Amino acid sequence: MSHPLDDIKIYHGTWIPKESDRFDNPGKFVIWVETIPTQKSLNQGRLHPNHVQNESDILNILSDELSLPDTLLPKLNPTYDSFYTLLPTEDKRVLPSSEMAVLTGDTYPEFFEWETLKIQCISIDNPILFLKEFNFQIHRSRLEYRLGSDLKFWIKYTFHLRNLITQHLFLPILKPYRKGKHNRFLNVSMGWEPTSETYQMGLVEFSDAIPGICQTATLKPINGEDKLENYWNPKNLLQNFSENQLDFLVSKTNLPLGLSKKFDDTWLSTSIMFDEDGLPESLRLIEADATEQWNQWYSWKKLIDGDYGSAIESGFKLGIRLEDPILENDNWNLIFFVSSKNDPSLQVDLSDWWEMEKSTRIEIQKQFGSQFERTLLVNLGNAGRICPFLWQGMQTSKPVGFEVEREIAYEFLKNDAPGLDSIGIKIVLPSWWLPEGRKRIKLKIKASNRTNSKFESIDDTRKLFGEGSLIEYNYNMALGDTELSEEEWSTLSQAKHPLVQFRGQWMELDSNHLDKVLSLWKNSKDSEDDFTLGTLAKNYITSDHEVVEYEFDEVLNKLLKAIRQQDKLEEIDSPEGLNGELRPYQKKGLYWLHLLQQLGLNPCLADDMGLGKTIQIIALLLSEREMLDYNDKINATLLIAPTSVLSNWQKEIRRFAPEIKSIIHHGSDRKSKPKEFYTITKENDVIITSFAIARNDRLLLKKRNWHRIVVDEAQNIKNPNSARAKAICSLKAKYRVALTGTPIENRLMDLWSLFNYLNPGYLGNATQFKNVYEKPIQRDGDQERTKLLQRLVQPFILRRLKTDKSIIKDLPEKVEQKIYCNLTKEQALLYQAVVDDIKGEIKKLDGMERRGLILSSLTKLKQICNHPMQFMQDGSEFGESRSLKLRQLNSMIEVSLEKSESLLIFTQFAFLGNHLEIFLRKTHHCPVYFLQGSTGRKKREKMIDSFQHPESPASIFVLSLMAGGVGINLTRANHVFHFDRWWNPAVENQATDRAYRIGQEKTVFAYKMITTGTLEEKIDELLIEKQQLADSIVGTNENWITEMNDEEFTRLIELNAQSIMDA
Amino acid sequence: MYKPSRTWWGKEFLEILKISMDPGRLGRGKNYSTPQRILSFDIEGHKVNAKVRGNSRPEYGIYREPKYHVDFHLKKFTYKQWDSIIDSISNNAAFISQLLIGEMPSEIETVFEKLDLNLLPRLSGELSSNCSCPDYASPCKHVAGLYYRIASMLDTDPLLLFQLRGMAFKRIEEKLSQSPLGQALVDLKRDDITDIVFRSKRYTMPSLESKGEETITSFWQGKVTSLKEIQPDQEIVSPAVLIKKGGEYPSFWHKGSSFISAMEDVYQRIIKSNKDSL
Repeated sequence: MSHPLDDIKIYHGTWIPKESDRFDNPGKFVIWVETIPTQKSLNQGRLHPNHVQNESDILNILSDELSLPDTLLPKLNPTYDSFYTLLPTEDKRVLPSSEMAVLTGDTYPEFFEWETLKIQCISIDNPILFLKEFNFQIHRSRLEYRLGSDLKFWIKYTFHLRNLITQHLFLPILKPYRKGKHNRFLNVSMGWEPTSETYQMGLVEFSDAIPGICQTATLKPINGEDKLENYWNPKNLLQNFSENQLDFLVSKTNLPLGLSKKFDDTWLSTSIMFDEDGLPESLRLIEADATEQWNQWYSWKKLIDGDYGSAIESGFKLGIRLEDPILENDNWNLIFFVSSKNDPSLQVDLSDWWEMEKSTRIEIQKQFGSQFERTLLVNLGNAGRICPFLWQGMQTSKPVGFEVEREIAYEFLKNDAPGLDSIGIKIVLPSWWLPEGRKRIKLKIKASNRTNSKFESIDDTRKLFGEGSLIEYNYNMALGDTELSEEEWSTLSQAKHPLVQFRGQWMELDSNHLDKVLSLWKNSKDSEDDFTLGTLAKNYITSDHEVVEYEFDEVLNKLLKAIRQQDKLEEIDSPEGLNGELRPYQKKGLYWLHLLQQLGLNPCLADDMGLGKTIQIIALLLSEREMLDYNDKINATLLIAPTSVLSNWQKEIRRFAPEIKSIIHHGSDRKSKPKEFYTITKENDVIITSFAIARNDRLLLKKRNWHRIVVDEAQNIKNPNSARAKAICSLKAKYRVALTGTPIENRLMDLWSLFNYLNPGYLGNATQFKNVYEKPIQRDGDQERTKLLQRLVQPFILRRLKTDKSIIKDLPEKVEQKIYCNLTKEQALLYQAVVDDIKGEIKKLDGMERRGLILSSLTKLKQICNHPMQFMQDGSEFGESRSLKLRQLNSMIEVSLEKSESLLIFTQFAFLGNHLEIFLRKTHHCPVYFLQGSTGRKKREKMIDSFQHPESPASIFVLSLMAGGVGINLTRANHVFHFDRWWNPAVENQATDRAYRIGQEKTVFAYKMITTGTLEEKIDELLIEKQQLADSIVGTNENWITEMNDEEFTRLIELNAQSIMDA
Repeated sequence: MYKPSRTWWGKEFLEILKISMDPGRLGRGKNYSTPQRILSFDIEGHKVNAKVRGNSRPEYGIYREPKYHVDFHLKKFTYKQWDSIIDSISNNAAFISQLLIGEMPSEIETVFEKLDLNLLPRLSGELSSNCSCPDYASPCKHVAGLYYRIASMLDTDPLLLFQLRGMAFKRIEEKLSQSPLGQALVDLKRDDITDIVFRSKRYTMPSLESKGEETITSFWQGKVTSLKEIQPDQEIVSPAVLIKKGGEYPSFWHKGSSFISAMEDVYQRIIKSNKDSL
């Protein structure tokens, strides 16, 4: 049997500077792939034993596993290569990287040795491009746990470097060098380097964070006794990388002839010429010429870098503040001030500065650094160069600022301020100009409903949405809260200047913006949209806040504001038939579901796991039935969910809404003849089916007009090209709802797919969506598009987190939930066989033997309920397809981990715990710990410490109920799973309290997993009964079961055949 | 190649040649500004002296290329006048700022006008010149060549014009030091030529150094998680922002067009050509 972790790989990579005797020393970016640790000791060749060594294997991994675009690899010019690095080893065994150790469960020894080892790798050109694409792929394909911190480091650094480059923060650099000893010529080469305060600060910050593995990689092995002497200086290493990359990018630049000709006969001409190695060409100059060139370049560079004493080295920044006049025709004021870099609260207007007592000035000047005046003047000079009208304010020995006219003030606001800011001058502008304070003219659309219906309960919405209930519109121009009179509007629209005062407040009249508002006004008035509430809702959602503002009458306001302000939702009463009480946030959720549905917008309820999405849907089903008039009927709802939760849905419906009739449409005996199926849809309110059946029976399901389709765990249709997603999208329904507990906004194509099911066409087709949103947002980080998309999807998704303050107050500190799963066919067969066996045997035995049989058969049956492999102990596959319980556990774990929440899993079987550990580690790429009775004290403490460590990632802790049930503190977890049931809830509760105890800051969710139709369910029922009688009756173990008579016992273990389900 | 002046003060400085010379001589004079022609020159006080290589003229019996002694000077201002001028300049932040970043203040003439003077020569009488060549006309093309050379130097060193007008920096240094703004100017004048800093390697080569303590975890992870997430910048805030600080016409830039605008194009090209990566 192959090791389950065999296919785990960690991607590593780093930059390696080249040691060279020559002047040219281009470095390399290498990528290598770590594989799981083996026991192999180091061989003579000292090749790292645990990595992918073969050229084609590494290349395959890059192209296939990372699914990088085909066109990318050739651009990277991948070359098979090798390098040397220091690595920690123990007893001649190479220790795995941290990321690998997390997956394999290895812990690091206290004592270890450093060894230099060789690693086979691929070296690539253009790491900036590679890391950008790589990062994009990771975000798309959930690979994040497989990256070494070394690669993560370089991803972050290249992002930083990209920003420096796109902001033009780099310069041509003169690089004189000597070749040969007595050469009368000097060589001068050129290159490009980042330079600026941002670059310098980045070097310090990144040097501080760099992993050691990035500092020890070399192209030649380095000898020496003390291995730790051989670390690259991190700051220089980053410089080496940045300089290499900039030269590379410039070498890939095509300058049109006209432009490159401009540089003829200057030393710059070589900066844009590259030899065949991609390095800038060199000039050979006589010493005098070289010296002249050097001095010209050097003084220029000093001027830019600010070695002449500018703010880069000094302790202060020059600031310019624009102050608006009170009267419209007065002048504006530009005021010079200085502000300390170390203490931003220390700001002094120059007008105060010059007036200060000398002693005070000297005191403050200590903060600002020496050569204050010179620095100040150079900064003023730089400011004047960018913005020449500033010279006006400096025609004095004590510049303080000056008055400017409105035109200049506008120019300053619009163009000069950003430019001055970018050369490091602090700019302070009036608050009304800043995005937060900016008021703009908007079209105000007043909408009211003509029927004047009252809106008191959700029931009333039907009147509002009924025929003849039309919306009346009224259009106005408005500024902030103020509506403009016709006169005001005409004054404003004819203003000659973009800066105007309106009712005593300054504002900008941006003509582009005004055009937008005007054309919207025109379009709205002439629109041929119908006047229904649904249309209004759609227009409202997609409207651009910057241009239009809606005002609704009281009724519409109640309805529509809520879709954009989800925190202002109303609570509606729990439906009468609900067997239970909704929590306040669930009442809001119910209101929201009703509301969106009524508006013709299909919603996605995305509350956190544990907040009760199921009960909100059940309440929706109930309340819409309660609203029906006598004799009215609604069609059935189709509920599609993962197989593992089908019976859970049915259980929950029966429990909370006994009057709602539901049926599970699954398994080979399902009603798949059209006629039979028609009958069950008529007889039932809800048809519950699985994704697989939704696909297989799509033709059957398509024939019905569903009242609603509910897709639970909607991430299952995230791939729009899958047969299941296509099948589900093709079904006909009046309403659609999606449920999911995982955040969906982050993976954009998943989001598109979800909307393609809910509101087809709303986000455009897949290609449009890719081009308009996915690429700009995820590849290029486009903030505008991100905001636009958020605005479009936000009204459709209600996502409440259990950490929201408003939710916490509605939640008890501990929420208990039972999770019902079915048996698979395989489990059922095994289960039945064991039951049959026992039935035969039990009659023949008594006393100790009977007791023994009962106890052993209980164990067997529980094992089967967990997983067939646990029962058979035959080394066969321990996978999800053989146990729906395992599948359900796994998908809930995934949801918790996505939210970075840790969890505990309790089982009474060490064997199972052991297999769970291996299985989960393989599936989830997070730290997985397993604590059982035989775990040594030291190891146990170490595991608990690292699990509890505030900086460790979200982790899984598997515990045997007996070993881990008491004493220890595992408050990092807020989800507790009881994979199998114990006979005494007190023991389970005690286990739950590992997480639910002092130090826990979140709500603890405890899930008890129960297979339906088996003894687990019966025990659960018994426990509830007994608990109602008296807690004390139930002992701490299963002894009380052995007291049952034969009949009682067989009833306990008997299998209910209805609850079998194929996974 | 000679470097024609592109700054407004350099161009205006040349105006006087146009009124003192005929176009033919002036045109030929331009060719005498190159290092091939001006074999050596020095500026002593406000006087410029040079050795200029002439042409052999066999028809006149001149077979070897002659070397001519050329000198010129502008009408200088008196110490007293300079005291008053410096007084005005060092009380004007705009002037000092511009001089500090290598520019001639655009309003500089207002200072001189108050004394009925002009900094940039306007009348032919303000330029006196001598040349040992046989040309009867003065200024001759050799003077013009030298004058062009000095004009091009003014582009990056506007303070040189003050010197040509007789300002003795040493003498006024003390006076300047008395005002904070003036002191800045004194410091500027002291910045000297530096020796070439040679590179041993094209790319900054990190040295190998000691790490001291290192745990296995710090070796593999460093403090990567402490680095903040970086969002790509969308729009360029200010094109060629660094270049702008170096001025339109840095000393190495011999062209008539602006260095800043040429470099703006270069930056945009670099980014456009590498759009994929950036």
